[in-house]
Amino acid sequence: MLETGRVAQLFFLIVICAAVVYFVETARRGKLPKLRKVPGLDAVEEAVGRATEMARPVVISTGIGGLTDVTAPQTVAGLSMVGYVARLCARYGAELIAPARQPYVIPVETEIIQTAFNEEGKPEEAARASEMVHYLSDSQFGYTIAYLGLLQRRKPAAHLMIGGYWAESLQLAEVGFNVNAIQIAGTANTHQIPFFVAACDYALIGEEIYAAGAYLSKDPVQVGSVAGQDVGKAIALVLIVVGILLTAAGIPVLTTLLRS
Amino acid sequence: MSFYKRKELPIVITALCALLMICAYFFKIPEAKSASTTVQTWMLVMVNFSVVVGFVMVIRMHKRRIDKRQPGDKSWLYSVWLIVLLIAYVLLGIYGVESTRTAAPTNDWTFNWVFTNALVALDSAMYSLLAFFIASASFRAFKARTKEAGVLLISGAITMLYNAPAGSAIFGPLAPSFNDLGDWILNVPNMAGFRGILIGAAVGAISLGIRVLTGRERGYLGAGE
Repeated sequence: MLETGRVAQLFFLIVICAAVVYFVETARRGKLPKLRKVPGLDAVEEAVGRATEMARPVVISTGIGGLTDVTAPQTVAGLSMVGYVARLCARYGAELIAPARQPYVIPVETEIIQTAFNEEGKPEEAARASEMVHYLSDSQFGYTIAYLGLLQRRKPAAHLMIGGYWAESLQLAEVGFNVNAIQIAGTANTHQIPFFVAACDYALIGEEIYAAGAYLSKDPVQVGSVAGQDVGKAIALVLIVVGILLTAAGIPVLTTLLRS
Repeated sequence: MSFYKRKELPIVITALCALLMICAYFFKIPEAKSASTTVQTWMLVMVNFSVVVGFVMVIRMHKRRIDKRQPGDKSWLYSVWLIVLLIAYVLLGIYGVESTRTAAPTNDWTFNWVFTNALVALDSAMYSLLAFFIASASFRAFKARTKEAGVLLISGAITMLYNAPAGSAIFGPLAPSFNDLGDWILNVPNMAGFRGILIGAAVGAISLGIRVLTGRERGYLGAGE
């Protein structure tokens, strides 16, 4: 019935799901977990405010990943941030530019921006949502060079990058730095995180981008689900320590179980 | 609200597709695997059709730029050039299909020539520019203003020298020990940090997946709060 080698994966998936559901229910009953401060997320409103004061645009991108592969969670996290930033831009009257690489992300981003502007009582701007999303190129470096040109020409005061980024991450962040934009960037691609840390004002590391939607919305149910993540991390930690001890003692029982 | 605009429908579709994929991955159910393959084929077709959306968006964006051209500003000419090239390359691709009578336009010699000698070369040029961006970012990041930045500077310098032939030349007879130190930095503290971030990110992605599956996370549908 079960695929060979995937039993342990399914078991841990169920455990993490159960933990998330438990904490969501606990939060629903009013017992909210405390989220630690994430300076990068707290700075988003300040960045949009700065752009408004300087009468310069806000540029936000969701990376070069798509919605159809393993990078989809990063893109979804980026799209949640697009909604939040669009809402702030609508509230403060800042210009929003959202460069896109994947054509099928365009309608999604357009819809998100349109909804945000409508909900903030700006239907005229909402009607121009499709003009805020700039499709650049499907090619990785075609997208990068067009994005760099956009940054150089428009000189945004705030530049946000949340999603899956690869080799273009540092190029975008460096040009953003050169145009004096306040930069907030986050990705789960471990090899690109150092680049964001080096070149941006605030960097969201790994899991922080997934928690962004919950953190910013302050929705108790979403915040509860973030607490459920900690159970997953605790399990991983216990497995690592027990695995080290057992392997050092020459007992391969854990590795055999995990491969089952 | 009209039926097609309601958020429940996309949430139900997302949840059903996700459950189907989970079933096909974990269980030996031929029907689930077959349905999952079909859904993935639909997805590929839809994704490929979306290229047309991108094509139209690019034309619209650059047409707008041409329409709004200002006296003295010649940058709109780039937009004209882009539209001309875009249409010419599409026509070249269609001609390639027609001439070779296959579904792959890459058989056409002219199409391939443009791809290899223009696109690939430009891509490589862009990628190689990364070296200069790394140099300028490192210069800023390696300023030892704090203790943490000092540690970064020292470990970064050791790793750079370990990777460059100059490192072995400078350290001479001490080079093997120096290389061991470089190996240790890469494989122990660096790897530990990377794996920690990786585990956190994986668990975060699962949690986000559960929120999407249960309709709690609606940011991607345009409902942030």
